[in-house]
Amino acid sequence: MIASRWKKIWADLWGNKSRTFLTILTIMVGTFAVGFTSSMNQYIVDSMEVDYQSSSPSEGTVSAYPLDDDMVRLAREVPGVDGVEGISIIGAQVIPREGDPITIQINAVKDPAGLTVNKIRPADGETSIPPLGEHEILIDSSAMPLGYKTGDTITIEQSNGKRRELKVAGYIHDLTAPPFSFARAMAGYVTPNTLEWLGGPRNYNQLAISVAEKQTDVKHVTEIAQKVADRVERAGTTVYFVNVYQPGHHPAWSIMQGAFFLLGTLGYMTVLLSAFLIINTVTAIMTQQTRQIGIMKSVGGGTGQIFFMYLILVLGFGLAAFAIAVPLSSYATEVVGTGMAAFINLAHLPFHPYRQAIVQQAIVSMLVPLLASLWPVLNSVRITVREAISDYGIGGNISPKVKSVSRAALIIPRPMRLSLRNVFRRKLRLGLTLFTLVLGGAIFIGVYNLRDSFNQAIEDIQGYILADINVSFGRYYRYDEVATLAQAIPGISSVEGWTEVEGTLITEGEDAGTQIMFVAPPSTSTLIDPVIIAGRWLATGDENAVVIGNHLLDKFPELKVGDWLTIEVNGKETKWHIIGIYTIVGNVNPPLLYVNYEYISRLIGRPNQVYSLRILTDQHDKGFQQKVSEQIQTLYEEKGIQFNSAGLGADFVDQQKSQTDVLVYMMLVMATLIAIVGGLGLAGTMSINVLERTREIGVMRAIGASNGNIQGIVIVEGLVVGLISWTISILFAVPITYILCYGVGVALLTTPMNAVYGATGILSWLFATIVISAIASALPARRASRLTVRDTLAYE
Amino acid sequence: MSILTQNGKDAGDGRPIIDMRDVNKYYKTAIGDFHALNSIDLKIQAGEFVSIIGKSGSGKSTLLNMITGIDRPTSGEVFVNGTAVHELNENRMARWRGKNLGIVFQFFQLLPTISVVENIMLPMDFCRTYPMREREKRALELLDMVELKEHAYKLPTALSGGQQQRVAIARALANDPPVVIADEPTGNLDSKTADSVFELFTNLVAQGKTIIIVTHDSGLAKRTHRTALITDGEIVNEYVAKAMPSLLQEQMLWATRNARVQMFEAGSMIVTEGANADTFYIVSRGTVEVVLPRANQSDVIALQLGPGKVFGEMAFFHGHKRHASVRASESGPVEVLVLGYDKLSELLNQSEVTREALHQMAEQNEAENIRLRGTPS
Repeated sequence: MIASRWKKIWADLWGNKSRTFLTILTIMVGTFAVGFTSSMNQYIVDSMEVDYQSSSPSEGTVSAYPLDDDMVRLAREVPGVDGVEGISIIGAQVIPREGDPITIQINAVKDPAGLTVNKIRPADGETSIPPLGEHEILIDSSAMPLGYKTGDTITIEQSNGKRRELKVAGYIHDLTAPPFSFARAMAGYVTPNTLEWLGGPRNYNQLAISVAEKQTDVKHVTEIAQKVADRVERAGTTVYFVNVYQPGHHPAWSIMQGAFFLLGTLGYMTVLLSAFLIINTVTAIMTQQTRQIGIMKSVGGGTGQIFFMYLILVLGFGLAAFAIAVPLSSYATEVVGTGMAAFINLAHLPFHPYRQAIVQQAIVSMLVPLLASLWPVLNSVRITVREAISDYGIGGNISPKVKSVSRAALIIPRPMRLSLRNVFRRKLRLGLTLFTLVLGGAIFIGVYNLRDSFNQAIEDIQGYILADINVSFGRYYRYDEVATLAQAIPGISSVEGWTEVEGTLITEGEDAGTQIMFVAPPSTSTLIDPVIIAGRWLATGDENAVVIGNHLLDKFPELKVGDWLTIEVNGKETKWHIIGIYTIVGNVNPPLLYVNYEYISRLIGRPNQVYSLRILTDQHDKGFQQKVSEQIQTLYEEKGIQFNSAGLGADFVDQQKSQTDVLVYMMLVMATLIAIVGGLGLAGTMSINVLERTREIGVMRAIGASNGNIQGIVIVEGLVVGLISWTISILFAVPITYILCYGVGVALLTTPMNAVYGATGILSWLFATIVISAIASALPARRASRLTVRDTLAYE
Repeated sequence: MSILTQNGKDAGDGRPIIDMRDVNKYYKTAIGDFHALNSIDLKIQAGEFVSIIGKSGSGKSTLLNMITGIDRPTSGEVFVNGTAVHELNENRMARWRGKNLGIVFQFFQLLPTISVVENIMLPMDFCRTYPMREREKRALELLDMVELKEHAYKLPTALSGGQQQRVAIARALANDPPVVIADEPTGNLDSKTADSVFELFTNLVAQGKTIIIVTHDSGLAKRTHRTALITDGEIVNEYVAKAMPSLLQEQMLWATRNARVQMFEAGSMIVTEGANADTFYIVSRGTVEVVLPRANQSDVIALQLGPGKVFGEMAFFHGHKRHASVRASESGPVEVLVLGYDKLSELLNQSEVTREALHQMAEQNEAENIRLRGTPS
């Protein structure tokens, strides 16, 4: 038999369904957010790690040429090596039936199913790797959205401009390839014969190495890779460089860690907000229950007994929220997680609810509300019977003070004045509501600013590639020859000849050195606008001057302006003087070093020859760029000029945005959740305010206030609260934007992003605030206007 | 066996079940302290049915709150059923109250979300006074007593005002407390319903409960054993009110304040015939005898006066000489309220009706005096 006080608790839960629903919703939003971000994190990271490890990934690569099976065997014998595979890789372009060419990395393997390192696996939903014949290609499944089907023919264009057709043998899952959605580049596998037929090398040009132990230890992996490089070099090959990047982890691992950390932080921010909301809501419930508490005390209920009763009530709300949020967040994780896994080219694990997420949800849904309720419940149950059941009439809850109304205030219409005065009547409640709305608003504005900062960062990157079209040649050409041809095409306003030269930075203790890439614009270039953080940019006449970037600094943090670097170029050691440091967001590997074209072209013995052409067109839209680019390609093909690629500035921006937008959208979803929490908070507060002022409303009714008057007073009050919060949130958005830009920058772009404070977020939040405030106060306003004089004044 | 017991510390030991001693209560307001109760002394014996009457704002509810422990005195002591209520902390107070007092409110104050029977079970739950399985049975019996058993499982809002108040009374009796306190229990009911609710209280008194009700209805107040009139936070002496009912409440209070209490041993003389007179008396305890001397005979007891009766009015109207001797009865000590003629005169100057009433009484007594003596005194 259930004691009647527990029946009362049940009746309170069940009897006021809309209040119960709102309270459960409040708790649920935070519980959902935490469960979703936490289980998403675990699901994706687990899937990533399991999928990644199942491919026996290489932790490092050695680029060298030529390499043969004997050398691969030698490499496998190096102590500490677990496995080595020799691979031949070439870059080419897929010419689709319509649209722009797509970059493709083609790998040649003898037996796709027999790889021991960087294994490829059947595509999602398949059980085996399709057989691969000559002149056939297996495509990584992340490029499935392009629509190629097994048996289709795809046209491959080599760097020399020759085209070959390959038959699609099917899809495979290649975890070592960057996903198409991110890189906008495909990955394919062909037989060694086919690669040769395509113009690729007969021998391997890369060794993929997996180490036996300490797979995530960069130093250890680099040591082993260096040993392999030394071994094959002694066997007679030329080693170009050793590359070790985030060994032991999926390429997207650190980015995902960063992204989930931020999403998790936002999730817990939602919890914090909903905790404040719970304080407000429970305070409201306790206000409604004051009289009942008094009655219970008058019939013998002890403070402890009643306190416990209401904690159980709160626990009931939490349990209900938990019961809804856990399956809902699991479902959302499964749906969004599988989509995201496909997006980042992961074969996802079968989804199962994560215990850690459920534990967190239990804490958030039950412990947080309990803690948040302690104060309001304790405060209410300590009320004396006299206070609880005595009736002081209207205004009883205002502490006595002698105060007159300023004459200046009289110009404000009286109903409006009532609204304004009401706003500030319950300062603690106002404070809690404002806190919720301000934090929600600041995060909302912050996320918009984050998007603007991303765009700014992309613009900054664009500063390094101001050209509309970037033509990369297959070999060096005389500048006059290629530039004259290009300038003859209508729509091209200017042309610059650049060159890119590979080099190896020689440092003590590293036998193979560190691969770098010289980028050499002419000293008079107008097509580069770098972000210089120390020293200066290149000037005409600078000879062995180099401007290094943040990515080289990541590897060698001790480097500074004035230092000298030793860099091996074409087998010769050269000395370079650091004159400046630039910064660029994003992953850049190998690090780029800017030098003057005039100097380096002489240094490598190719004066007046260029490796790429940077072209500026009259119009900068993508369509125009595309048209001009096609004309250039046609012309060069006619003239027999080999070129690797003709990239568009607009494509680059699209590619960058496709990555950052995903994160911004996810954060906007979280910001929307936070905004909903803020709205719920305001709705709760307005409900309590109306409830507390039942008598006042009755009096206003008795002296002639219409439905519209009453509703107006309540809605204006809600709007005033909303607008105050909006104003404050603009200020709070400043540090939040800074934190978001710093965190997201470091996580995704390896560099803190410069924070941009834009108007979009502020105006969007103003609009959202007005809508939220109007909706949040409309219901309480309607309830208020429905109260009759008899109801309100006889209210007991 | 009855569901109610006579469980108050009975008057057998002579101690009152409710004893308020010099209770003062001040409230802080915007314009200074408000003296809500002023030196209240009130004693109520077990089994008494006492009504407290007074104007709105006179302090009736504050007085009740002192007894129930709902509010605390600023100074003074309150004992209920032997417990010093003013010394209990809030938590112990709640438990003590649940067991010792049943409270009935004007607006019923039933919890709206649980059924009628559960409302009655709630005090038993809180105080764990009856085994769990007996609580519902007891609640139903109490509902049966107030003739509402068939409504046991309805929500309170489904009941009429009178029915809700009967439920509230049943709830007040849930833990079988010796004292039931009711604050305007009929204030929100029509007269017929009010009458039936009042009848319930009368029955409870008959079963040994001590009932204290605050009421505005003087008709109902008259049906109680005694009435305490409260004005401006002070209790008007009930014998002043009884002796001079036509005075305004403020005048009664003035008289209460200006009267002095005097005790007399059994058989001792209070006034002597022929002596100069300057005081008016109201009997507040015991019985006095008006004694007339008869020639060569023993004195004759012309009149016996109990509480609420007056003497000394004849001398006030006729020559300021005592017209008869008055002594305390042999049956026990006597307590009287003594009012100087100057004060009485001042009082009667404000109440012509009372003067007229006292004058008539004096004339009648004089006539009786003459008749008994055979000669004018």
